Amino acid sequence: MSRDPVGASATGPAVVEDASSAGAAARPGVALGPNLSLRPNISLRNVSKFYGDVLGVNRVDLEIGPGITGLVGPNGSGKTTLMNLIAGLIRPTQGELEVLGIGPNRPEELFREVGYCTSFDSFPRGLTGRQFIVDYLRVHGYPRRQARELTELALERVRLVESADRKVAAYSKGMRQRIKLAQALAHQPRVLVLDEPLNGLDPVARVEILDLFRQLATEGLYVLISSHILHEVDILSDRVILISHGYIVAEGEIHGVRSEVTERPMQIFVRCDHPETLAAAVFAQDGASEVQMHDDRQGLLLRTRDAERFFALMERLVLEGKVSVEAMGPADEDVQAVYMYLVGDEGVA
Amino acid sequence: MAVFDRGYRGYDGPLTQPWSRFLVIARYAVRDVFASKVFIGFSVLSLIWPLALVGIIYLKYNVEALTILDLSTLDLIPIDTTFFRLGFLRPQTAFAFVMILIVGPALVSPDLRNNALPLYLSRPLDKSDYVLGKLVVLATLTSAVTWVPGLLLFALQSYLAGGRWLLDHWRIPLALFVGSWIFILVLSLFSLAVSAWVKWKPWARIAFLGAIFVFSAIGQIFKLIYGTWWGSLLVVDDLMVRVWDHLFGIESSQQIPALVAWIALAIFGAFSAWLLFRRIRAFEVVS
Amino acid sequence: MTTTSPPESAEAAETARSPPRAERRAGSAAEPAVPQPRGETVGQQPPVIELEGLGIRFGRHQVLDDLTGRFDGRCIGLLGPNGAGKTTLLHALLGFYPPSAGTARIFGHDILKDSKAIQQLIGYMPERDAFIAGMSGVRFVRLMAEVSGLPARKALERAHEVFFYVGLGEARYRNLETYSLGMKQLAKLAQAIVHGPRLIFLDEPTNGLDPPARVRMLRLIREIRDSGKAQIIISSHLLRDVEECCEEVLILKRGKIANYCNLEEERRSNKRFLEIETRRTEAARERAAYSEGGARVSAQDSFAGALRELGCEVAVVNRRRLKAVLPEGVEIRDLYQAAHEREIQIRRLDYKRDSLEDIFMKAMGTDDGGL
Repeated sequence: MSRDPVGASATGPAVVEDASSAGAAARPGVALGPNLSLRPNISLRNVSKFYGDVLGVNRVDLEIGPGITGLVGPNGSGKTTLMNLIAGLIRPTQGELEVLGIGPNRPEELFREVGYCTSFDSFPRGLTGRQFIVDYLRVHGYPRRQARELTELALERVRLVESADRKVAAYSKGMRQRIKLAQALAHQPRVLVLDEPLNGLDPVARVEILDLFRQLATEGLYVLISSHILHEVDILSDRVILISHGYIVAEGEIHGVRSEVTERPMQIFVRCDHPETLAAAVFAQDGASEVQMHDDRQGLLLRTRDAERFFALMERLVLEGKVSVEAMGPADEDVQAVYMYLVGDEGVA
Repeated sequence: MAVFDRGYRGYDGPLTQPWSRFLVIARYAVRDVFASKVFIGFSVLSLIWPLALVGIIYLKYNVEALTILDLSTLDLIPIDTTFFRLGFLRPQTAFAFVMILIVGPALVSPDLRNNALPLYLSRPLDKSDYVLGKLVVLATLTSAVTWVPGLLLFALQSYLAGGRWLLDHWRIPLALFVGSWIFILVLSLFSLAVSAWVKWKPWARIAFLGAIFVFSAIGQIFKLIYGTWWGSLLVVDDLMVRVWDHLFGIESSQQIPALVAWIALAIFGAFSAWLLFRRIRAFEVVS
Repeated sequence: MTTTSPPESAEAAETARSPPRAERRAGSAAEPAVPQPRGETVGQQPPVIELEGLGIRFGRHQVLDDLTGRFDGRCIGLLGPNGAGKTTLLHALLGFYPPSAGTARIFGHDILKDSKAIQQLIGYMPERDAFIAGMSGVRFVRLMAEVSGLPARKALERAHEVFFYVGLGEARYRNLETYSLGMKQLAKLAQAIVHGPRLIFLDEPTNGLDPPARVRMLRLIREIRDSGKAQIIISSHLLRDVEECCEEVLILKRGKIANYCNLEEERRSNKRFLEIETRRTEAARERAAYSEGGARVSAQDSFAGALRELGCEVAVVNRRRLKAVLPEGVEIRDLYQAAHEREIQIRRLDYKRDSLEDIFMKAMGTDDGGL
């Protein structure tokens, strides 16, 4: 858990040690942001879901605030179950679940607030893109005219206006993905649950849609995105949830998560001209456990328990002119590395 | 001691002949077919009747056996064209039909259901190789219960009856051979076409049977109402019977002219082939 | 544009070990074991792909228009937006339909006249699911190997071998429909390489794979690339994957070639483009803990401002990251100086790792401000 005491981000976890709001912080399911307003979250308390004997998720405790939250885990780890729970499609076998203060016993309200973009790829036959969205909104209860207006807005947001009158069956994969997103957005929900939303999109479209998500996050939406493309999760998300075998393995800001994985000292790579000077200085300083010289003697890879001190050392050496650095940085501070440590190579066969 | 490289290896060994690739398709399909014990049982059953006919022919020329068995009436059954046409070809083609019904619709649909066609066609394999491979399966199985035992039966009869009989009845083996093959080809092509268009095995079989029955029913009704032979164009059975009668040189119970029947069957076969080839594609065309 | 392919010495050694032609089955025609690529001189291999005005037209829609070029390289990335014609190009090269204009050659064989020879030399891993339900993994791959011309026994050997190679050894007797998505992808790769092709087409090989499976797939691809026994063409939307494996990329746009470039060269010329990740020093953070959260953002901004004053172009990615282009005369030491003065700690300093993204965006005509 990230325990960054400075009201940190709008997406911080519920329990915040912020001195000026100690009293209000005790209420569960509420996050406090910079403007100290009370905002409901998506909260799961001790939620489990079993399908008969088969485990979906087990004892999940989560608070998800506004902004972009990445959901990461191997196939079959319970991501879809978790998303179905939040979207209100299934009920927990046990535990309490509330989305923006609405529980699963009020499905009509819940579905109004939540938009879900699944990973499945089937559509009602014979419909055009526009018809598909309009019909969907009509099912939600919108009168015809309003449904059409909202459809136009949604189509514009996903940039699918030109092809909206072609049959969905004729869409390319990327277009199908966009129409699914449009459907999730159309009724203007406050929560978006997106299962691999970038699947099949070409690089240009990926950038467009990522920007769309950022835009939605600034508008105050709660966006939960599940993805396997970890470097995109890295760039996009404010917070990450790692799930494996139905258990939440870690959640929070990725740097915070990494620094909590203390069994593994941080690995840092450096490309410089006098690696031996740097190595000597690193060993002289406490905290480094391992330094590996690169084959071409133009860099090294080291492990240290105190990254902070290392970076300070680096700065000193560069400013003193002793070492000229070309590149350097943590070799394992991203989602990919944390994933490998915590979830591991559960792999394929 | 040596440590062996387990990395990626290319292949530089010998290759099989390109023309023989369709046999690979056939081999694998046949193995799948014979995995079913029901089918094996059925095949054996289909050969019982020819065996019975062997018995009849043999007994006809073995007076001693006849008197022992006290079956003089059997002596009265003439072994002639009718014997082969109605006594052999008719029932055996019925067995062949059931075989095609069981095997045919399952041949192409597994390949199409999960998009395996691009994997075949990106290899040195034509569409025609692919279709030929599947056809060979059906052709082999059905031949084994139609013209093959038919010709053997004729050979036995000729041997026992003598050269005179053989010359008198020279049309029979020809008719058996060609008649069987017409039946086999047309119906196999149709079953493969159905298999290509209907993705699920049980539905494919129902579609195959259904199409044939429904069209036959419509044709029969047409015949009844209008009293002409035009309805026969839709009844595969009528067309086959007409063609066989023509081959055997006997008068037919069907009124449709022989030439018309031949052409109709040819069109039916060609149409099935066209339907089939339309679906054997490595990619989907989306309009 | 063309680079010479790696020397064929490894392959020559293997050919020497394979059975001499006289030992092959009696009755077979005098046909070479594996179709050889045609070259002008003995020992010189023609490039992997040559396009000469290749055009494909469906009805009134011109999907590919006048594609020309010679491409050679261990691993070529094929990129382009949806509808650019990537799949069509792949399908045409695989011989699925004839070109409506122009021609193309793979290893010197014409795709129209010599398609069987080409299909002998290539392997294809389609994007969509592709398998036969009701068959075990090994039987499926064995069937594919035999259709590619391997004799039955060799096909069986290679099928097992290739399953272990891709990491599906344990699952090879199970039926394909029971495989998970990642396993199906690996099975698709297995059938693409079982007959030892010299050119492998991979269409979205990491589609739907979770991170460890993706890492494994990319590692396999790199291994195959490095073995020197096969060349690879990868079509993918994931630029990172392409960047990890490919040395050259061909970018298509609306049926035409938008760019063909060598990534190594691009990377080498990218040393002045930096990505910097920062964090306030511990001292500064502790001080800020007792005040409003707004201070953090402006420290990053002031650092960015200082860099701009030095003459760099700066783009802020998020709270912790920014990108900068160093002009002549500005050194990394100067960055550290600026950081030190503002109590900012530099945690990462690296050349741009997304040069491919920039190349792609430029080819598409979109401009993200140069950075």
